[in-house]
Amino acid sequence: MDYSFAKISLRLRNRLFRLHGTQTEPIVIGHSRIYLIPSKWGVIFGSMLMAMMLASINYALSLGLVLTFSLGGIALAGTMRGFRNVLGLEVRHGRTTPVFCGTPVVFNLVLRNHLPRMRFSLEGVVEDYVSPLLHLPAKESGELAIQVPSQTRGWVTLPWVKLQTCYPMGLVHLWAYVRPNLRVLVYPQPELQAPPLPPTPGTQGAQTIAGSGAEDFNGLRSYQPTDQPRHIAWKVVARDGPMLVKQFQGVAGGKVTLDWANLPDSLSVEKKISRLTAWVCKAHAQGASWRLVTPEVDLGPDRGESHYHHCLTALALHGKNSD
Amino acid sequence: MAKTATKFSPPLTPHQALLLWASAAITAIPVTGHISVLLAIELWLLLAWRVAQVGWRKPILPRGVLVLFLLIGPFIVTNGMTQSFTVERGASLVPVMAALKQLESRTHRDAFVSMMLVSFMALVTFLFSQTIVTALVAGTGILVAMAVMVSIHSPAHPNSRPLRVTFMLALQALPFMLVLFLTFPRNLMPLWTLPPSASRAESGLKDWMSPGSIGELSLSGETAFRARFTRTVPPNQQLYWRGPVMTNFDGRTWRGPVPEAAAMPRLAPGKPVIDYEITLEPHNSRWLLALDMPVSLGPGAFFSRDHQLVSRTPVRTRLRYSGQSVLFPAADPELPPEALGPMLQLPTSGNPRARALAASWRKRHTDDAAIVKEALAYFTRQGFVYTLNPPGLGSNSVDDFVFNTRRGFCEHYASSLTFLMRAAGVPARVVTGYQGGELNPIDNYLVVRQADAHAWAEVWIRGEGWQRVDPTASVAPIRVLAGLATALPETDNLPLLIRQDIKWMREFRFRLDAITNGWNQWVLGYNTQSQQRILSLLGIQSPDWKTLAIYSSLLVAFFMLILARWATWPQRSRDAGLRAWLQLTRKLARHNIPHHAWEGPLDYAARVSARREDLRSDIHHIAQIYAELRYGASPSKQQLRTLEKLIRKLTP
Repeated sequence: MDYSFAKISLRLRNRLFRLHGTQTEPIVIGHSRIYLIPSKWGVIFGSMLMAMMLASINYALSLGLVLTFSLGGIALAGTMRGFRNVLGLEVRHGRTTPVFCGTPVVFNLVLRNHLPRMRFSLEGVVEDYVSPLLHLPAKESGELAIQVPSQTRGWVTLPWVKLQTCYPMGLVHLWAYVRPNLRVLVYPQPELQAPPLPPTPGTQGAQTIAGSGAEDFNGLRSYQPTDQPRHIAWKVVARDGPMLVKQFQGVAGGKVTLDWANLPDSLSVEKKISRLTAWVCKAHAQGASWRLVTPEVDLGPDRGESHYHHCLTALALHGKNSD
Repeated sequence: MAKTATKFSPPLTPHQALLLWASAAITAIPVTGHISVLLAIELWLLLAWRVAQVGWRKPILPRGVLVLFLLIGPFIVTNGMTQSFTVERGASLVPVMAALKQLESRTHRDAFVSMMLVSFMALVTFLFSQTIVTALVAGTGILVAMAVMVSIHSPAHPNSRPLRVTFMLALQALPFMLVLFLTFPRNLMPLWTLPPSASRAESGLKDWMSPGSIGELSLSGETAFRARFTRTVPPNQQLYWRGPVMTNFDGRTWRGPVPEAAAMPRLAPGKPVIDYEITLEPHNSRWLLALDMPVSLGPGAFFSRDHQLVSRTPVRTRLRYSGQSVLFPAADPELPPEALGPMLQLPTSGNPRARALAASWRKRHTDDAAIVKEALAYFTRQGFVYTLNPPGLGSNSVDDFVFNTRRGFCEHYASSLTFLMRAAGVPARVVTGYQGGELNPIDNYLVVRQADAHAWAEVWIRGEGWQRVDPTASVAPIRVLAGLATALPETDNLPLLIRQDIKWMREFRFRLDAITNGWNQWVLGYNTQSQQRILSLLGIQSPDWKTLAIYSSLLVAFFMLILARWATWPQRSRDAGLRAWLQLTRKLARHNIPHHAWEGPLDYAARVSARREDLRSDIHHIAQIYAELRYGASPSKQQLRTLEKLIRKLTP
């Protein structure tokens, strides 16, 4: 058991707010699951009211007491209005896209407002991340994007999201925990300086893709995160253009076999996966067709988007139990 | 957007900045008249600069300049300071601080701090003045400041929306405010000693009297005090409100001795006692007013040797006290000679003709009462005139008045009568105070204004005691019967408020006065007795603070419940059929057959019955009814009822 402070406080939080498992959709935020606490400004406001009350007592200012009690009453009425702002909000899962390890995972939550009134200043909080504020017009849906950092490959499920608001005056935080059943696949991190693709069998002598120099320029395409910096068309960037990558004529028509068994044994499992991922990306970038062979899967030969994602999925889930 | 620095706070939109400025400016209006002129100028200069900043994009002033302005304030305040530091002087810096904060308000955090400063500015305003108008203006400023907070958290909206929301919040806050205000304990002593509150009153009756000193009071229509009688109000000519008593004359000015505590006056028995309650406006002195002659003593007061009611501490805030009096009795029938000595004291020289006149009266009559009658007859017969604008008097003020000018106001008559009596060997003293008053028919309070200030004399007759003698009553009896406005010719300068001629003006005056008085009595003067009175109306008899706390928390909780009901209200008007369907899906979800968002009711039923054969008929029935309810041509309430019943009965 991990006894670090973060883990303990997390467990405490789960126990306190009864956070177990995921919630069935549609998640409707009911009054029993809304919590509130004065915000930092609320505490300051409260101490200001205290000071005003003491001053009014000391100088026998009747109107000072009226002012203090009115402000306190406004804070109470505001709390109720904030409560109304969150109550009855419907949360469902939204779309997700797989990402490579290292870039943050984006979960989209769809919030629906059934009221004939607008809901204001809703935000989702997960650990360090605070989403942008969302204002939901009456009877409409909106999306909340939650970013979670990705550290390892594989499935990442959405943790408990704290849906909070400090409407109307920022004095009180009201929140509810929601957890729609949402998960995203994180592809493995491609190796940064991957060696070139393995040569295609049968064309050993001819057209080997050597290192630099002996490559035919084939055009430009837009930048993808796994492209090597030396392939970027920097002159275009210098002219304030978009980031474009030089494409080189690949082994047109060639079939590449990316074999697990052919990788040097000095590499660890993760590094092997990394290299294979880099190769898959490169092959896809070049438009070649390839075949991926790992101890678990044998995919291809094929080319195109779906094959690309299939291979990456397989690599991401290598060694993990099927979920 | 990751939660980067906690220092980041979003900027204010121009509209929000303007609204913030409006809150500071509105709240600054009532306080402007009460702070020193230089501070007021600085305050409004800063506010004007802020408008230029927001409207015409003038640059934000550098910190250094702002600090300079901040330091000017205390310099002004401490500059002309002769007395010690009072809380009003310190508090008058708050408006300037609020204006300075305006100048550097850029972000949401600045707006919050600005809102707090505006609240303090309102509190400071109440330190100076707590009238209804001040309350309304300051309250509006506070509401606008709150509207800025609402606007910060609900942006991109019709500009009037934050104001409407804040108004609704204020309305919803009213019940809480009323409950807390009525039940909050009022007998808490000052909790700590802070710099004392400065004196606030300027005008009013003084402890001395000289020709013209009472006449100038008639220029003021301000309220001196209000009185409420438990039974019928005595007629106007009997309403002599006794204030400072003066026995030392220096030829021009009468002064009283420093009041020392003495025994209560011994009065002739058998006269009816009149109960009344006086709400006295602050006047900075220690004299109190009582109907001629007071027989009871409140806490914190004592009787002086001249039967004057004196307070132990100066009256600096509005004071409410009850009193009992007997109308015009004679006091102290027997007095020792040493007590009478000061009452015969005259300056060694001056006013020879008056002394001669008095001596001639003494020669003619041995009876003191006859001398008094002779004096009054002299005033009536010799054609004296009662006027606000008499000619000036020389060093022999009594001689000039009695023999030359024969025109004067009440202080001339009282002063000269007392002089003559003393010169004739009859002990006499000058009494100042108020006479008469105006009964407000709306709330039955008697309003006595500064213009009703009056001076009369008291003489001592052996065997009978001190008796009131009012020469004005002989010269201009209508003054005593019906008030100042009727006694003086219309050419004399009277304050608008006491003019009798304009009818609607009087009506308006009565209403305004009734409202102000009600405000003074119930809001500003709300003390433990008022609290007990109100609570006994509700059936709670003399509660201690524990009971009060319980009651008020119960009431607050009750209002919170009402608000909570309001908050959850629209939820109920959701589609009842949908609610029932959701209930079903939740039930089945607990048994691992959740409803997918893309499934229609019939498909869902098919899937459920595939998983659970035992629910087949029930679930199909339910789905059928629900589909008809949702998508059918004519849904009926009957179907809804059936649906709800079936769903309730379903136990997977």
